[in-house]
Amino acid sequence: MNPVIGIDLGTTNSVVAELVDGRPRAIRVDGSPIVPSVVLYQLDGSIIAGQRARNLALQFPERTVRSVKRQMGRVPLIDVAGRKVRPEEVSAEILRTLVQAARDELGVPVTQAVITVPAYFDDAQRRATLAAGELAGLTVLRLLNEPTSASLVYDPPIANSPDGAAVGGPELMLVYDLGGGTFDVSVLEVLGDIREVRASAGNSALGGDDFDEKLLHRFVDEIRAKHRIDVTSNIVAMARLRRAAENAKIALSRETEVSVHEEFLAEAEGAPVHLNMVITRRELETMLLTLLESTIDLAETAIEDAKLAAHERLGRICLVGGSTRIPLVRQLLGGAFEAEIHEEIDPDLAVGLGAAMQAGLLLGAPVARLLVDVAAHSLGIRSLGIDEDWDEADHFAPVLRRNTALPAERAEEFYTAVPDQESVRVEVFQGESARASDNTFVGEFTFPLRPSPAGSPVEIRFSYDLDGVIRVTASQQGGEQKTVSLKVADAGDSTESQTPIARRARALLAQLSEPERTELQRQLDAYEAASGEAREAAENVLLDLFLEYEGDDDDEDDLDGDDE
Amino acid sequence: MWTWLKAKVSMLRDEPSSPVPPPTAPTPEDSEGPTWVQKLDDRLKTIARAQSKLSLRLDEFARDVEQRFERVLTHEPPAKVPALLDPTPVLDAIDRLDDACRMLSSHDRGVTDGLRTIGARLEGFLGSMGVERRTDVGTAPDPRLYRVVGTEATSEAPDGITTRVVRSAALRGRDVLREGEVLVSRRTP
Repeated sequence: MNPVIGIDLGTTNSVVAELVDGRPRAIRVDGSPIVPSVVLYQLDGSIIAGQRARNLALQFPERTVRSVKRQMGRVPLIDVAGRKVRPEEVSAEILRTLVQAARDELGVPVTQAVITVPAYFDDAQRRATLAAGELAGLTVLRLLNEPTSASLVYDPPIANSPDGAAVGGPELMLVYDLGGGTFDVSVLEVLGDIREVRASAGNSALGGDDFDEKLLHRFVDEIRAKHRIDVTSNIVAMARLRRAAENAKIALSRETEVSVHEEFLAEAEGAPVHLNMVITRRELETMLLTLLESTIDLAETAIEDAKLAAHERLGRICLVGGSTRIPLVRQLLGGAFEAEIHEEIDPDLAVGLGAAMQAGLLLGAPVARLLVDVAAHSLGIRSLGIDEDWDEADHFAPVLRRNTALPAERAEEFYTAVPDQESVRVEVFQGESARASDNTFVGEFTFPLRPSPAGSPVEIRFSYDLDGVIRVTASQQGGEQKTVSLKVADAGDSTESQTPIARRARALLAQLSEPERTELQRQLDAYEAASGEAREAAENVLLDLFLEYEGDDDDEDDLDGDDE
Repeated sequence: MWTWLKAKVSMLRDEPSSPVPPPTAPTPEDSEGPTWVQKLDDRLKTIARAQSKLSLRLDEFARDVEQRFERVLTHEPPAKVPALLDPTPVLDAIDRLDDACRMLSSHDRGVTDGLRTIGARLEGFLGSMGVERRTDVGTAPDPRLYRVVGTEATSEAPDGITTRVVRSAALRGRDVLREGEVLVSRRTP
């Protein structure tokens, strides 16, 4: 049997994935599932693509092609290494490398695959991609839109699924894809196995590389201010700082601050220059805010272009692309749109994994949901809201958000309210309400503070394994830290093991209009907050609502079933 | 089953003129009219809930089994050799010692020698954990191991030869643990 293969042929990076027992799995190429979309034409006539081509690109710029996807269907020929090649020939080299890796991994020839393309690709660009596939010796089963591919990973059309999207009306999904060098956002309509991109927007020159650049400039400025030297012309120093910037950016998605140490970076007046500095998440967010706000504007444009009817609303937002790991992305999206945000699937691989699932659907292979353990509820603490008085503080500040893949560790910084505050009461809640008192209380402890001015940071860290125990750590810079373990009854669920009733309710929510939607949400919240007999009663109410809201669609099927 | 019955009951309750004929042999309870229908409706509802619950629980059970099976399949067998924690900080530290030695002038020979010895000791420690630190200079860079991050103009070396390692590479057996970074020569006339 032919292997079931999907390929995300990206601008910066590509991914090849196979379907194993119904579930997609990315294949490693040269040790990594993320393959740079770079092709190098060598002097001896051989051609290499992927990581090794990327590694030699700076040495042989005249023989290297990067981001060929931008040229597909746009220019007839590219000048490289003293010859002219068609963009589809260059793409074919990337595909050959991916296919070869898949063949090596699987031990059988790979002859067919689904390949993804951006939703905005026109006919010429799609034909060029198709041609690239054929040049690589592939039968292209389908060119799949990238947002559609990502949606398949989050919500595959599975027959007889109790929470399948085929129940009720269509669901609207926003796919927010922020990669290394490009940003795309699409509004997708999903109804069972029918998925249609209603609108797309994007910025082809915005991504993680721009964020690295911001940090790099910050480091250069720091060195200039402290040592009065400009290191921008020092190749070695800049290479080291660029890597330090990328590492710091990645670390700041988990930590509230990181220390950057680059010793013996350069020399100034005969003395060594070191970079030793602390950079906070807050500082990075300030640098990135304008860029990230522009992505929210584009998402709003896409929603406008999708022309949502009065009864339609976004059901969920799916995050794709490595740069969506930056917490501010989720924060801005959460503030701008009222929809559940999903980020549990590895955002670097989601499009490629979805392509493998589509290939499975086309070839009649069984397709199953990805098993990902996630936090079933947001976990956070009670804090003082902006407009709240001290004695009525009831703002819920999430630290570890719902649908975060587990195990996970997240930290947030909070600030003291008064000068020389003696202690802080850490009250932990789980739930989704903006008011802490509307959520479920988990536990509390008091953390003594050393004297400091008002607005001094206190870090709260949540560490969450799969055992249902969260470790909450409070710490103050230069001071002590305190860790308390709290048992969370059902917060350690996964999307796969949340109660089926809650899953079914959520699936139904996205398809209802008012006032049914509000009623169902109210009952779901009551169900999730309840325990013991109250939970059983709430479960019955939900079951009745399912029968009432889904009843019409089921009648016909059941009558048919009885007739048989 | 439930929805079919529900439809029938609704017809009985809401549409008395329904073409569906009423029961032909009414029991004493039937004289109560709507109460009879209401009771049937309630019982059907209870059955439907139970049926629905059962189906959802079955689904939960299936998912649980599936998940456990997946974990068993993906569970890695215990390694024969204890895995080394991330060697990156040690590799970075040795790289910085190399940088320090490069910056020291020739009359700091004693310090340079001392630092190099410390570096060698750390490298020996990594070696005992199966990690091979690589700093290949004077040859064309192996693109599997090194990324070229810059070029240095030179009239002495041929094109494309590694002139300096900015970041060391590391191997464990044949596996690349981390990619190095190098400068290569660009020959000038």
